[in-house]
Amino acid sequence: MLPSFQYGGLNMYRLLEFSPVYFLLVLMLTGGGIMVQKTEAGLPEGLDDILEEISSQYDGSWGIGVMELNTGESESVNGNREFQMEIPHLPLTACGVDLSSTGVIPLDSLIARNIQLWEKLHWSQQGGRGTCQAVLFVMGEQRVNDWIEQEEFTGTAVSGVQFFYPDCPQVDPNNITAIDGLGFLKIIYDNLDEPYVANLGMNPPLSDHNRETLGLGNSIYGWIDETEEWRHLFIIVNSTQGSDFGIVILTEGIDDPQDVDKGFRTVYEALTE
Amino acid sequence: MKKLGLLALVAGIVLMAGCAGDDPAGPGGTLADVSGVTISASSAGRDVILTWTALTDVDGYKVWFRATSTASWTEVDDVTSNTGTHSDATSAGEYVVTAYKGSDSSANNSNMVDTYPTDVTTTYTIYDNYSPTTQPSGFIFGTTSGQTGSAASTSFHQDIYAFDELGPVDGDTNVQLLSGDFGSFGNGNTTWMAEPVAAGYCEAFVTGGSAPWSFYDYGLYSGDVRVFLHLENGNYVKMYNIAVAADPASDHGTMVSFSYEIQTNGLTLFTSK
Repeated sequence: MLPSFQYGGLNMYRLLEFSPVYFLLVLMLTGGGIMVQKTEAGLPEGLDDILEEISSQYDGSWGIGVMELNTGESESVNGNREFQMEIPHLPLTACGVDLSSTGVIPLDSLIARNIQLWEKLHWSQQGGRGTCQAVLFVMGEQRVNDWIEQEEFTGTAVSGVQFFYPDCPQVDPNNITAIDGLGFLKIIYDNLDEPYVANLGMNPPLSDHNRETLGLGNSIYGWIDETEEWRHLFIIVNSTQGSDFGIVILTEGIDDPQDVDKGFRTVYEALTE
Repeated sequence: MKKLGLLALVAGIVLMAGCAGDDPAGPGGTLADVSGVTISASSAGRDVILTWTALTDVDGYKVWFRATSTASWTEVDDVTSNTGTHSDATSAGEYVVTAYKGSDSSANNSNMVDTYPTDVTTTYTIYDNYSPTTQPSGFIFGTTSGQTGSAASTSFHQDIYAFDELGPVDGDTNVQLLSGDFGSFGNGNTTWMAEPVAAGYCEAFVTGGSAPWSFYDYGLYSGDVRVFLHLENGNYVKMYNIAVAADPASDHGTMVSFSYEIQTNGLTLFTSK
């Protein structure tokens, strides 16, 4: 229901519908015209101090990275520190997007009964351990790690997902850095217009705190990796106005997962306010 | 006059029975019987090629097919040489050949040959990774009998194994059939799976796994009763009477029971089971 918009007894909505102003308004609101241009303001001054402050404010080890996704300008603290990752969905997704764009394994490849590659990548993003492992088997661990090396993501290693069924094979740890995480987000961001890519990071399993921080209006693509030891956030904020950001927060040895959410809020507010 | 009419009616019925349109030879023919009918090794997929000893002074031969020993014969080819083909067969079955010259035909059917698969009627059960490891998870499709074993064992080279990649859920019946060389226990043989479109046949395997041979990760749905497989040794298998149930010996395990038919001659034809 639209709010009342009366002036002098006239319903201004009706009036606007027949005016050029209405057309221009529609263009502005839908982003379909030239009236709204995203302002790529870049990263704010003093962001490095804010990131430093967050990393020292809470318990545990932190690696934080921020990137203006249109320009690639980035800032990080402990950006090259390697953090363990339980489910390597983000590197796999970035690799999958890149391999799909070059035709090696299209995202719509049927990789299981009635299941395409992009679907399993999305289920991995939703926390599916087995589906993430299945994706790795399909894409090939060697090929994925060759790609990681070729793309010079030097702080990332993908070994698989540790299962917990009886006598299951032991899997080496997966690693990632904040800077590599930003690189993966950049690959995905740059391909968001390609078929299926936007689906991969949709509806991330964010906490209520994260959702409140991000609010409404922006398109959010995210990957979360969480254990009792850490909580990692990899978020693309595709804003309706202004810059688009990639935000990576990696942690280890934290006492309270909500600290990560608080840190994320501080970063987000620094970028948007 | 009435008696004459009745006599004519009886004679007609006898004649019709004698012609036995779906019985290729039947009484009345005076030509020699065809002999030496064999199924050619060139047969493949759904095309069954038969050869036989040529007769002299005949116009041609008819190839007859029936899907079961109690079904009626159906003419599937009419040729002038001693080679006939049943193209695009929709099930395994039996074949005979008769010769004809004008309206005359062989006195009897030729020797009968069949394309029935070997039916391994034993019910086998394999268990997914959330069942106790003492339960077999892998399976080898032998030409006369099957063999269960542990897919986790490096000495057991399974064709398929049962695996739950969706994770443990109490009483769940999530289970995939995985190719023996795929996934966590992929030390076995390559097996491709195809969704059944009919009980009696599947399409021939296309190298590289083009549709319908698209699956080496085949999630079983409730209600699935059969699935086709192409084994690494070239044999085709139809698992039938598939039943999926929670494993009562574990909290999260799932068991898959089945019997199977196997074709070792390159044909993709099976019975209606």
